[in-house]
Amino acid sequence: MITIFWRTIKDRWRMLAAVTIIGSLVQFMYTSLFPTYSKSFGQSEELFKQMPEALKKAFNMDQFSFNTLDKFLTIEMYSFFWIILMILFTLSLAGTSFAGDVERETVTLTAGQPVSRSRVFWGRYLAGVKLFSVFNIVVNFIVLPIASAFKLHIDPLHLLTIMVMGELFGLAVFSVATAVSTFLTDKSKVYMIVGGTLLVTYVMNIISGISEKFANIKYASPFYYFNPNTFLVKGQYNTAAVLVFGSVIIIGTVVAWWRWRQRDIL
Amino acid sequence: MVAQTSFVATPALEITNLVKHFGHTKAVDGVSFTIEQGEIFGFLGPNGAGKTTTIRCLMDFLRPSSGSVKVFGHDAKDHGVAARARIGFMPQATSLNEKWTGAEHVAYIGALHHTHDRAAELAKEFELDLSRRVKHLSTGNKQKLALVLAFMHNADLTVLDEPTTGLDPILQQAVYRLIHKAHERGGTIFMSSHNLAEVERTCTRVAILRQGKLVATEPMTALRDKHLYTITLEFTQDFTLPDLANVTVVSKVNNSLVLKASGDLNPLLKALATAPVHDIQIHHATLEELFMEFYV
Repeated sequence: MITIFWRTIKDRWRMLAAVTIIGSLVQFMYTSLFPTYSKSFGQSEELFKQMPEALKKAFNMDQFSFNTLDKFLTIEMYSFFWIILMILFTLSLAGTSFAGDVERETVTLTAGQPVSRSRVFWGRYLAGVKLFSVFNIVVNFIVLPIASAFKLHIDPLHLLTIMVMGELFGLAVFSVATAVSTFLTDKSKVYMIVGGTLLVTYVMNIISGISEKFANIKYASPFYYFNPNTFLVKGQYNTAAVLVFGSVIIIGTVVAWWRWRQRDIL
Repeated sequence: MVAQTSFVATPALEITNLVKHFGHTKAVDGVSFTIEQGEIFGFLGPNGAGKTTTIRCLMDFLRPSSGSVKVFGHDAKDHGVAARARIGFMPQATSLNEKWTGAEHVAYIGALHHTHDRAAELAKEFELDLSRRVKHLSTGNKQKLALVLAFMHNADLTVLDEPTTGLDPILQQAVYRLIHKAHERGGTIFMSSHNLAEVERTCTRVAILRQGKLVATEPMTALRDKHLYTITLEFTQDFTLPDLANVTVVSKVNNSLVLKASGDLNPLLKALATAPVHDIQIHHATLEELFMEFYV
């Protein structure tokens, strides 16, 4: 399993480097721009006040303000860009490790050796967890030295909170994508199915904020549970989010492991 | 009184009533055969016959719909790790990882197999540069790398799927030498091939598969002994050959006759004794012709 784990890390480190550098550069960009934005935040706040309340809620912007770095990053980074990067990275990891390997038939290199299906699965799955965790930790905590360089304040414990909740959200997406990947033999279908489902749930979360009639559909959306404002600005963990993401991680992983042991891999 | 004990070696491979369905399609339909230790066993059949599916079940890439595959007594599905520990599997050249070098393949498979003793020696024999990435290798060199991966750990059972595809004749000879060396060490070889001449010169026994069913399992000598001939006759004048069992007229042009005959030739030779024969040529059929005549 260790051999498979390290081989997977080695095969994916360029992808890890790319998303981590992009994420870190975007963090740098927003943090360095914050002093300029904060000077004109009065105008932005006026503009924001004119937005419909439902729309603010839908985008988790109910406490909009640019007067602190954490609030600024909540809106600019964690409500959109971090989520996009996380989804792209986790889908790519899950898609290439299982369905992609079957699609290219390179799976025979590993499965043709004296190693059990379970070890193949856990070697690759845990490598994916490690890769995502490195991305998540670096892209979140890189804000501390950048903020320090610009003499800005951000609470490290609040960063820890969003890092932990982001980890759970990311691993939930990764586990579901891995489960889907173990059923398919074409990685592009994994991207399409999981990416499409996430897009639908994102829209569901927005609709639930706009229409009272559909208020309850937000509970089916992971974007409802991932509220950067609560995690980064208030530094609070959300028990419901922990339970939902935790359950999805466990169920997704067990389904993926079961399916990988059962399936025809060519 | 001394008790006598006879030791019967466990078969290297024992396939029993193997069935594999893909939806409504039966890719393999009740195939059974046994390969004893030390055999070089050929697996023949046209495209789509079920050869690759059988090999994939043996490697546990595919799970049989029913039946069993045992490698040295270990069930390929339930005890796959123990079974594959004794197998040197040659991946298809297209299954190699394009981004890895040859050395990375050797290191990875060596680590999973806990040995890659002969990789350097084999690479040298094949003049293969292991430092190059697979995407920069020619088809022939990819095939060489696949062979190195199959033979590098002196496995008890070597499974080869079309081992000489893409190799030039000189390298094909090198592969045959490799197979015979493994055989001399006591290893068992199981190879699928479209190349009947290759099987004829390499294997001791052969299984023939057609449309998912096993048509025959025979020693190579029995296959050769089927005596199929192509006979070209030229007569000095028109001659009508009487109807004979096991003799078919393939073509008749002027005073020339091309026949296909099998089994005992004596009735034909007797019929020709009084014929105005100007010239006669008798060719033994190739294995391919034998295959087409008896099994397809």
